[in-house]
Amino acid sequence: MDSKGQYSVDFLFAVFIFAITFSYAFYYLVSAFAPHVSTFDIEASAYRVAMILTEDSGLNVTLGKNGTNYTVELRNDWEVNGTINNTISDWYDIPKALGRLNTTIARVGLADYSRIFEFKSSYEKATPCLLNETKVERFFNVSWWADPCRFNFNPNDPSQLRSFYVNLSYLIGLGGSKLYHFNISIRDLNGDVVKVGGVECEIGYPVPESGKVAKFERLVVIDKDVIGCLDGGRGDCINAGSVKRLVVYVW
Amino acid sequence: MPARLKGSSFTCGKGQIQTIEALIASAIVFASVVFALNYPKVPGFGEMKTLQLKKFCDDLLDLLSVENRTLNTTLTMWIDEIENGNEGYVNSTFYNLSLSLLKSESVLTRIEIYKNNSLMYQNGTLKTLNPNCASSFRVVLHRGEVYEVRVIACYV
Repeated sequence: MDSKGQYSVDFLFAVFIFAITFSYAFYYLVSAFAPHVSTFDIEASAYRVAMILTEDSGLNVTLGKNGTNYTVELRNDWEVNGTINNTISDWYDIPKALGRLNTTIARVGLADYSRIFEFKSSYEKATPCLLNETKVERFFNVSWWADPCRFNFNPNDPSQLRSFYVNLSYLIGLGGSKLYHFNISIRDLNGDVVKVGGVECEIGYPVPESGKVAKFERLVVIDKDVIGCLDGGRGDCINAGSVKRLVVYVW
Repeated sequence: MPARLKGSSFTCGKGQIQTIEALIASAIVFASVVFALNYPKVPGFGEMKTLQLKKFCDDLLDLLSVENRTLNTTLTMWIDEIENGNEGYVNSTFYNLSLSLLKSESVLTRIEIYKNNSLMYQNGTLKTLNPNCASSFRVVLHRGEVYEVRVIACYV
């Protein structure tokens, strides 16, 4: 027997352990020299998107000229008359566009305006976690974004839809050198996607069934569900029926 | 002498392998490869669990503190109800909310209201605190009194 050689279980285990160790060492060495490789970035991005959407009202920039003076008007009502002007790709393009009348959506946020902002001395008018019905309805409405005065695309064309998602990602805090996929939805506490104004509140790519996906949730209320209380009622409409979840997936 | 597996692919007809051990080792290798190819079956949802819990607490307090045009909030209304001895309404409202969060998020929650540093009211699905809980608090000035409202959350 000894003269013919054997493969023992010890040998197989040794080879197996060596292969695992070698794979780990290879993976570790490669990742150690690759800069900025981390899975934390998608988690932080999911958190940031959820924060912007729930705590911010968005930003609409209007540039104009009043006599000899150039004007810049910053407003939160992007959902009212917001357009996308391709001559302004980012804030640093604003000086170049001065002198021409331009309006563009610079950031999307869903937070409602405070019901008592007229009494506030603070400049901040957004109410965290209280979402504005119109903002919600338009944010999740792909047809609204497909309008020629905005991104001007065919929502039924998958490639154009993907391009739109890339553009939209810049408006919700996912812009940068890396391209992220996202899925954003508003769900009730039973897990069902809610509808606002006939629009199903889900936008983005389908969430993959495997792989590294970051998820962050915020508890929110849409103003239409509590409007009676906010406009002078008892003010205690926060309950299991009115509270919803804003769910953000990033990968 | 254990049984030999002759003519296996390891030995090209000359070597031998101990059958039982070889089968076990092969099964382990095969299972490892299958596991590695299929892992993970479900999306990995990250490790920001503590921050997520903390934000649940913050959000609940934010929602309970939304002011209406008469400057009332859900919190101040609840404090009035509790002060007037009508805890039943607050009990059912918060407990239902807490129960819904437990069903949807597997999160246990509890609200505590302190008046002048002494516990005035508590309610929710979270009965026992543990080191993995997260909490958030807010100080409410209402009718000349200082109240501290704490929301505590914990994964099941």
